[in-house]
Amino acid sequence: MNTNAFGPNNPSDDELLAGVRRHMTGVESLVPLSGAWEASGVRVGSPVRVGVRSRVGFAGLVPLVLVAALVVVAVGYGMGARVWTGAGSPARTPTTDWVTINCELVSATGQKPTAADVDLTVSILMSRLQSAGVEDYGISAGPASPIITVSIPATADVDSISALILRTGRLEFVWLPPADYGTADAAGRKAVPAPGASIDPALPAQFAGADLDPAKIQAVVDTNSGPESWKILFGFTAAKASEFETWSGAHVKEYFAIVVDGVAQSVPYIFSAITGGSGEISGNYTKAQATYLAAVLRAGPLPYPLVLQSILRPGETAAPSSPSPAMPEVATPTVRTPTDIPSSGRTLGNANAPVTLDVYVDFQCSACRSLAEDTQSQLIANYVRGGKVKIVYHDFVVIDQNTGGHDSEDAADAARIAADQGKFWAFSDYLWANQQNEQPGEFSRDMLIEIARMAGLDVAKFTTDLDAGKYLAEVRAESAAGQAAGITGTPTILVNGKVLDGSNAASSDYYATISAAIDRNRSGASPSATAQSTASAFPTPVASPFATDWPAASPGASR
Amino acid sequence: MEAVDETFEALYRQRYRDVYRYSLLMLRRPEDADDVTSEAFHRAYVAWQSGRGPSGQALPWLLLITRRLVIDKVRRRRLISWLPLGGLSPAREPAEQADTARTEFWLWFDRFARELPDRQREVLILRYQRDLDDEAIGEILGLSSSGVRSLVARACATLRGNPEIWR
Repeated sequence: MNTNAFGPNNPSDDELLAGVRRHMTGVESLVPLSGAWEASGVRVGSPVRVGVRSRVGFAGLVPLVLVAALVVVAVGYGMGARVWTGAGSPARTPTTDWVTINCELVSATGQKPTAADVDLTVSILMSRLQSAGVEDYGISAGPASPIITVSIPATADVDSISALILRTGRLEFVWLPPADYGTADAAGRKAVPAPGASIDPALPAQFAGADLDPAKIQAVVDTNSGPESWKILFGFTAAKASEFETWSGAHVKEYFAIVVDGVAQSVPYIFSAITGGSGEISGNYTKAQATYLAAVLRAGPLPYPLVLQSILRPGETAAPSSPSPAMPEVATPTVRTPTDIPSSGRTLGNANAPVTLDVYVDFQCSACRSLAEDTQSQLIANYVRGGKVKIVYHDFVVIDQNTGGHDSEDAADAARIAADQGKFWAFSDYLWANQQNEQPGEFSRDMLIEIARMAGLDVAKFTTDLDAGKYLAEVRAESAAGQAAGITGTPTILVNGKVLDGSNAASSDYYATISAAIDRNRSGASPSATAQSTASAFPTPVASPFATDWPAASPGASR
Repeated sequence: MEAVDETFEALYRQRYRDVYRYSLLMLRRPEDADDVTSEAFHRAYVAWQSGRGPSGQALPWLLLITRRLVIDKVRRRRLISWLPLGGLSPAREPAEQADTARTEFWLWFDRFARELPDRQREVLILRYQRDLDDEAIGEILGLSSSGVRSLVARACATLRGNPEIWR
């Protein structure tokens, strides 16, 4: 009767196992890159011949990559007792001389990069490193984790190599239309960009890195500019060479920019049709710059940008470390909102729950923090999880007025942006954990972006929205509406639309007060009596902002 | 690549993550996983040098050694703390679990461990290792291949009743 036995409600074993496998890949970020060889108790230098042959490992990726990378290590050090410590190993400190560079592949669309993207990235990085002459390195990535770890000896030029790794490497030849930029003979309305300038991303690229023949890209001394100056030679593939000749012939005297990752490297004008399809980028580079840029161009662009997470130098453990001193320290929440409860935007719990708790908070307010971290956990366990109560957060920004800052407002804006990405609760967990006694600047832009990263948001999108102040107007409007309705402080809780007395006081047993009010609502006791007796501090009835939950739905418990 | 494959060090480098991952999933504490992984490779090396290396594939052999150490560790841990396997989760310890992804993994794993009986859980952990076939898993667990398959089938039945684990 049922031709489709394995629908979503009747999954096949394969679907079940694939689901488990998908979750299980989360362990990869917890597994160290490699252990300390000496710590295994094995004396090094005793090669034992055996007949074991490697097989392609899980997901094919990691063992291949490790083996390939290790060949290089083995070539560099033979059977030497190099200790190779990965970033995920909290129990060990690197004892000798490796630096690990941890970075994350971040897709522009906010989707998680696929295993194939990670795979491609790792192979491009390997090719860049080899091509730049970096001989000792290791790269590791989980089969489905976008975290990529590169280990290099501390004696290497760590700054240049991390730049080499982190570059996206997108090469473009961008024509600067003479209507705007003029020609070699006549200046245009706009100045011709100098090398190092950003190029207007709206200008289309005529040719790209993929049109070049990698074998023809090389760094050489630029004899015109002295022995310390280097340039990069390149050549188009045979097919593109003639296209480039035709195009350049049609644009004599016009400028074009050779652009890497949006930045002009060199802005020549076309003297005459360029035949033979070869050219040079004379960017007045140092030797290292030219060598590494050539390596990047030969290897081709990464599928997505890599974002640096941390650089661990010898002696540093894998403890949360900041890539630069300017990066704010973000505390990890000790209390986290469970992720297995339905949530939507700023609402936590069953959307049809008979009782609604509207909670007005200011993210700088310490009483709100204890509400969120202590009382709320109990409420979640006893009411929300069972679908009896839903919690809805609202903004009531007050502390900014006292401090003269805008941290509360910015934090509220940021939390709403996080809600767009379905991460309101995770994000606010971090906000609470990072309160700093109402200090102006406690939720600076850098701090909020760092929190967004730690909370797993799409950081690029978050930053754009934050810089646009996407929800500031809504935050202010909600606060003003709350004020108009008689709310005077935070936190203020409304149980089915009725302000709960004592909820903005430092009540000793907050939970008891709230749960009693919830129980009154659920048991169908007259809510008006509650409101009468408790709402004295507020001019009731509470008006419009709470209208959605008004009147209190006392018989709603039977819904 | 051949030269690398022929030494125990190469095996160590190549399989370190596999042994560590298995230990971590079974013991759920990085310190314990570190201990067990080091000890397992030490024992493996001693056996290897005295000519008692793997007769077939190396990974099942390594995991068999590891598994004995894991069981030993769990037993000792039980005596000490009276906590069942999986009673401790690194997510709740003030460890280095600085990012959400890791915490989310442990939250998921908590649920996974809670719902699946020990052996069903272990067979799925071993199955995560794509290059272990039923026969190799049987070697590690002391079962026949068909025993492994029926254990997987039972694990699937458990999973079917707990959609939050596999969705």
